[in-house]
Amino acid sequence: MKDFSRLVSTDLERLSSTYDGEQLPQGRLSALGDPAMQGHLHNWSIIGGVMRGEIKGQIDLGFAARVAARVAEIEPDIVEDQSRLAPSRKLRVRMHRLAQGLVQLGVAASVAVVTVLGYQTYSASDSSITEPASAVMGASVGVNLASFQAAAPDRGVAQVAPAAPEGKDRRQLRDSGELQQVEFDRINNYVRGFVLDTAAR
Amino acid sequence: MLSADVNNEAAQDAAIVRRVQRGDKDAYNLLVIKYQHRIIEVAGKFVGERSDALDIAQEAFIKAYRSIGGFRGESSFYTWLYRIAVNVAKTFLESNSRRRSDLDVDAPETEAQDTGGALRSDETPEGVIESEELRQVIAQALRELPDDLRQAITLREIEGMSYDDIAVIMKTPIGTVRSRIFRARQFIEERMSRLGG
Repeated sequence: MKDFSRLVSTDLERLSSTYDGEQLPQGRLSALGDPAMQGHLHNWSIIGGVMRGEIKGQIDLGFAARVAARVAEIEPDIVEDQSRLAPSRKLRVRMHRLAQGLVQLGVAASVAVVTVLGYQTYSASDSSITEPASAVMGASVGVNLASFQAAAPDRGVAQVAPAAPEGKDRRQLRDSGELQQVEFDRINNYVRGFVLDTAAR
Repeated sequence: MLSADVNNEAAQDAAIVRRVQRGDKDAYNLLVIKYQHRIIEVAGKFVGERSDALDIAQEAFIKAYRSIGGFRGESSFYTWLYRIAVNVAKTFLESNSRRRSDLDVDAPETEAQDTGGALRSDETPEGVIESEELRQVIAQALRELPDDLRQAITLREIEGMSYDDIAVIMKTPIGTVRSRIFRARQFIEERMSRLGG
């Protein structure tokens, strides 16, 4: 047979230490909603209050119940815990810094690309380059604007070529003349191919 | 109460407040039961009327509950609650003095309205008991308590010590401390019930 008196006594002893904040049970403190339990809590509150000299005059036994009734109707304004907010703020700052870094990197890369392109363009117009773009890119039957554009400076080379210094090797000049001729032929072939291709379409 | 005991009580309350912040309203009721007498007395120092003190204390507990999410434990819960109660009392006094000065113009009429429905201090409604007789009963019960029970409940209620500290002082296991405090409360409660009936 179960000893109910002992069970109740154990529950009350646990409630007594819960009241003192010593032994908070897991989950909600739903036992506090029980009127019998609340009666004990009120008595213990009065005992403590009288012992500490906090209670003078009258004792309103319904005070806590009235507050509980009001509390049941309202919800607290929950403010987010600052310690939980802190990491997200840190994350936002880090993301901002990362974005700034990426933008700077993008700008630097753009400048580098422009520099390389500029250098290549400058180099392409340099008279010392005799190798035509078409020779590198390979001949194409279709339209090859790159080789066509690259060929244009070569024409300039041809114009500049006669202005070469007098002491220059004749053989070199002859080779250069042959190369120019080959280039002109290629250009003509491209243009012809382009015209014929366009006409065929 | 020693500062270490105050810190201990604050830590215990902080654990209960965390429950409230997670939505446990019953946990808040525990704090109300625990601090109701102190806060009513604080309010009573600002106003003469007992009913006003009760209104102020009730408003203080409601305000504290509404803003419990903002309580971060920088001070003890009681200190925080105390400040709220003082602010509510000051606001009450300000609005009351303004209202009183407005009402002074029609003084005879206000005399008739003043207590309309509200309790007067000389009334003793149901659920309100005089503390003097109760104080005597509790004091007598404490005298009758066995020494070990009296020492345990005194260290807890007056000194505010934790069960751990009481166990060290009384050189006894913490389970015994828990039991002694509970039995002391039961003993005094039994004497109090005789008063009621």
